[in-house]
Amino acid sequence: MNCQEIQTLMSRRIDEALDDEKCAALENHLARCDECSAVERSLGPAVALLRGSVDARSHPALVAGIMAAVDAAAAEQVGELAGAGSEPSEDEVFRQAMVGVASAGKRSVWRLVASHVAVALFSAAAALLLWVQGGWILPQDDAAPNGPSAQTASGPDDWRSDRASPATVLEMPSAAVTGESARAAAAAELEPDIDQPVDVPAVRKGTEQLREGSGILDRPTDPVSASAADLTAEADTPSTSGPDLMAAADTPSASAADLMAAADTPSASAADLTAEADTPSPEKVPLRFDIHIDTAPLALALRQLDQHVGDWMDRAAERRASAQALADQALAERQAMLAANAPPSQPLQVAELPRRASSAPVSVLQDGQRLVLTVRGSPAEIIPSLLDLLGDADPRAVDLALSELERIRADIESDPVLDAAVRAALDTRQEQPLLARVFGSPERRQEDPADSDDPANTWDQWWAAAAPHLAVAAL
Amino acid sequence: MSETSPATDESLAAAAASGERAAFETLVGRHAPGVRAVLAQALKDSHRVDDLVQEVWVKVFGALPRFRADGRFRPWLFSIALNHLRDELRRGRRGRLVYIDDYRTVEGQAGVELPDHSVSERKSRVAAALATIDQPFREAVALVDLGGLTYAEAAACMGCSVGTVKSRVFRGRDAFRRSWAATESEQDTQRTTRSPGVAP
Repeated sequence: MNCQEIQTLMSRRIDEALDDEKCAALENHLARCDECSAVERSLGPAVALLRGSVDARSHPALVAGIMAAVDAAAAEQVGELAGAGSEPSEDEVFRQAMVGVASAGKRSVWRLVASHVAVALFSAAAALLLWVQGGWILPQDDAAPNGPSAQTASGPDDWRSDRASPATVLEMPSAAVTGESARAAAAAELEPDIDQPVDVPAVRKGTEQLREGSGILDRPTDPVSASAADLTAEADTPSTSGPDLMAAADTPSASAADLMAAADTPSASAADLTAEADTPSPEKVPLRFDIHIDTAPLALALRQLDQHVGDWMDRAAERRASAQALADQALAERQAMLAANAPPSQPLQVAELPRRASSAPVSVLQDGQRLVLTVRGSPAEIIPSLLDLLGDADPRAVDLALSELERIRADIESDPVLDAAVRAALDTRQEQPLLARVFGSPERRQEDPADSDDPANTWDQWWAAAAPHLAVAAL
Repeated sequence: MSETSPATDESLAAAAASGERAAFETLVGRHAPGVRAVLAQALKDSHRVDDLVQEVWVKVFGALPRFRADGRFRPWLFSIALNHLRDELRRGRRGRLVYIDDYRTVEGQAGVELPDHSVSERKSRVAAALATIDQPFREAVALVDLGGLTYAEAAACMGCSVGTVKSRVFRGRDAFRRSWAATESEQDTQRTTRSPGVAP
């Protein structure tokens, strides 16, 4: 035997007596193996310590708490089975509950099936009612304006054809759930509205969402089959031992409990569902459900919803119109303010000027509300353009041209030909202020006697004589 | 309950199933500590453990009419407890470690004389060492050493063979032995470190 097998024997010797052969083998091994001897010396005390940590005494508080919980469960069980009566003793409650559990436990699975099916049928009935109501909410078929639509007529049949499951055989012969009767009930309640389909998008959308949420309308048998699948899985899964399965069956999960509670609690809204599920054995499975659908509350609720949605849409339209008016007013005020602050608009007539700044000697570009003058080349090249610019209707362009002429006045005056041309152009336009601006005031120069011998005076005299001729030649 | 109380668990279970509350209470008094010990090995909160014990016995109460007369009560009982514990752990309400030291509080509330502090501390350390063991081995040790089940009963409870239970019990005990030894060594180190600090 190796050390692992020997150590397993050590553990077993703590619990049960080993036969002589194994005991001898163990002792022989321990005599020559220090490691196993060390394990053997510490294993026994460890197990003793472990067992000693459990207080074998029965704590009164522990037992009392358990019995209180059990008594509460028994009382609840008795209440469920027989209803409230006079207050019996704990023993009597326990006995009644245990007997009740014993009898009810045999059919607990079928009660669970019945509860699932009941809830599924309740949901299907509610969805069916919505479906029927949808006949007047949604666009209707012209072929059947006031009777059951093709959908409502085929709905129950489809439901019936698919509802059979391996575990249950259901009978739904009651005419109360057919589209015909439900439709008739709805029509009786909503007679004035039948011929006037409500065309409210919100209502339509809400109804569609309700349908999608229920998940039953398009696939009415899904809840039934799902419930059966769940039950089958629940019956198969818990464990391989019988006690586990029994325990699981007797303590339904929270969802199952909720379903049972839901099945036991009649709904106050739309349907009153009564399920009788006393099925003593699987051979007598057929279940009968009597379903009575009262469409009046739902019809009233839908009508009120319709009214509320209409009011809400009217109020929304009013608010939207008010907001639009405020926006228009603000825009008008803004435009008025801009118009008041804006400079007087004058059409620019600089189209004749070369706009290509890259190649033209003089170019005038508009930058927003101002003009920018760009010159390129020698004075002889730019002066003709500047003189042309003097005739522009835009005073800003004229001012730019004069400023540029004034800037290059020295260059102009150094060239007699250019000077004569510029002076002639300015004089031709009969704009003495312009001439004075560019070349200074001739009156001031003429009034100064000291300047009589000045070459400039001589020049002026010469200019006065020759200017007309030069101007004609230049032009 | 009849004058002569049934001796075996199975007869008590049969009597309880027929409506004898006293028989059921006897079963509770007999096995509640073991059930609590098995549940407490995986949960830290002792109050939650007490709740779980009550839930287990309510389950047993509901399932008792189905208990087979030819069956054995203890494996059946502990299988319900173990499954309930696993459900509890699956629901994510698992405690981090087991600390049985606050068990004193329960005893104090019950009006029982408080145990020696050293005993309580030892229980706490045992629980802490037990919590370090992997679940299958810890469950096997809990059923056999804390719950008092035999290998066969534990095998029936865990749904495995007796040989597997024997192996798991040994490995669980060995792991507990090592963990306990480490705890002891740590305690010795702390005592050694604390002693020189004492003022002369």
